[in-house]
Formats: sequence, structure tokens, C-alpha cells
Amino acid sequence: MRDENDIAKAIVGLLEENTSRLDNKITNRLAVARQQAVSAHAKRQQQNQGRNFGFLHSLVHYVHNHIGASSAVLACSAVLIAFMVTQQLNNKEAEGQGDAFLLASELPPEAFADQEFHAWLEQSSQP
Amino acid sequence: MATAQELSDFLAQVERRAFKQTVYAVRDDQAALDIVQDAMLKLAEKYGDHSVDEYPMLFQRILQNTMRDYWRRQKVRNLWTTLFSSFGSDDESDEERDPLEILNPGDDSNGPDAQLERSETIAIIESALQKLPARQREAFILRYWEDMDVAETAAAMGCSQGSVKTHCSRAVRALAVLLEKDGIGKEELGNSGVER
Repeated sequence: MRDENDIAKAIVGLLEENTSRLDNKITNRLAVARQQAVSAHAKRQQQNQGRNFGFLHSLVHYVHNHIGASSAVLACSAVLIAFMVTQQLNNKEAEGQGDAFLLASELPPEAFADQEFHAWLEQSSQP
Repeated sequence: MATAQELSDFLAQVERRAFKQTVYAVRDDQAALDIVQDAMLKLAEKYGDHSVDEYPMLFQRILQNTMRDYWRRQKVRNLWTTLFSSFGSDDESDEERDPLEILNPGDDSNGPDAQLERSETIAIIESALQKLPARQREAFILRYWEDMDVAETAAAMGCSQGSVKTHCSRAVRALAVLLEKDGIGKEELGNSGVER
């Protein structure tokens, strides 16, 4: 294992040394390729920044141009929310009143759930 | 997100090794340059917003995939060429290279015999690397040349860590045998090798 590692390191050492002696044409072509890659990277960065900025810009632009419509939408939303909150509160109030009626009645609450009691009440209430 | 300068520094650091690595795989300088250029562009365009720490592995994966795409295209092209041409492929780059052909005589300007011997050794090593099976060569280069650990190499190659160890071990043994055949033993390697 140690031998393998030593042989590999010796081989790689020679190969590494050889890469520094590449032909000028090849190193120039590699430099050009690198420059192209860096340009492509910069272009991509610009596009990404432009995309992020573009979204915010278009949102602000839309609100600015449609300020009347935006205000109307906001007002409608406020009215709708107020209506829903009121409905919620009214329902709770009605439920509370029902419970209070049952508790305050002379009859026990079980009597209202009994079917026969309703029949008896109707019969006895007839003149 | 990595800055343009960080990307540039990273590419400058890896481009030569990436080029040599690709040459060993495709055996064609121009094709290797195209592949490395493609890989660089893909890294910048698709993964430019990643952290610079992720670049080595991403770049290696892209490079390996671009090489595979190249081989697929070559396969299709060769199929059509074989079908429609009675002459077959005369492309010398497809043939095994003689290590001596790769010798760079320009190095003679440095003079000493040691320099020539070194060049010969490197040429033989490069030839031996080209003869390795693709996965073994890939594992060897990533693990030892790119200095990735076993887990990183496995992630870059899309295989298990056990496979990486097996590929690396086989690659080193195969290289040692191939070099031994050319008269380069462990001692010669040690003498000419440069520790990184």
C-alpha cells in the first residue's frame, strides 16, 4: 500500500512537472477558454441581478401606474374583512344567548331534548 | 457565490492538468482543448453560482461527462465512416503512439542528459497512462494528481469508495508493470520523480 502510494506520487510528480512545459499555443488557447468562461460567468451574474431588480421594479411601476385601482382593491378588502369579523362576533353572541335561555328556564335542559315533552306541551297548550 | 476572479483563479490552477488528463483519454490535442473549453464554459454557465469550494468536484464531473459525450460522438462518426468509406480510418491519432514520437526535442536546449532521460520517462509514463482502462486512469488522476481523497474521487466518478480504491490500486500496479517493461523501476522513478 505504501509502495503503491510512493509510486503514484513519483509518477504524478513527473506529470506535474511536465504540465509546466506545455506548448505556447496550447497555453494561449487555454487562457482564451478561461477568459470566455469568466465572461460567461459575469454575464450570468448580471442577468441574475437584472432579474431580481426587474421584478421589484415592475411591481413598484405597476402600483404607481394603477394607484386608483390599487386603492379600490385595498378598500374592498378592508370592508370584506370587517364584515367577516362582525359576522363571527354576532354568531358567538347568538350562541351565548341560547345558552343563557336554557340555563334561566324553569324546566331542566333535558326536557327540551325529550320528544314526548313537546307533544305533551302542544296538547296541554290547546284550549 | 464565487466571484469572477475566484473562477478565473480556479481555472488557471486546473486548466493544464485538465488538458493533459483529457489528452490521455482522447489522444488528440485539439479535441482535448475543445473538451476543456466546453467544460470550463459549462462550469461558468451552469454552476457559476456555486461556492468555489465545490468547483474542483463539479469541474471534474463536467470534464468526465464532456469526454464521454466526445466518445459517443466519435463512435457514431466512426460507424458512419466505416459504413460509407471503403478506405476506413486513416487517422493516425487512433493508433497507439510510440513513446519516442512524443518526445519533445525542444527540451534539448536545456542541455543535460538528465533532462532527456526525464523527458523519455515522462513520455513512457504518458504512454502507459493512455494504455490504462478509462476508469482506472480516471481514478488514478483524480486521486493522486488532483489530490482528491477517496470520498471526493468516488463522488466525482459516481461510484463507490471501494471501487475507487480498487481502480487506483489496479492502475498503480498496471503502471508499475508497464514502466518496468520499459526499464523504469521504482528506483528510477524515485530518482526522476518530483515530490509535489
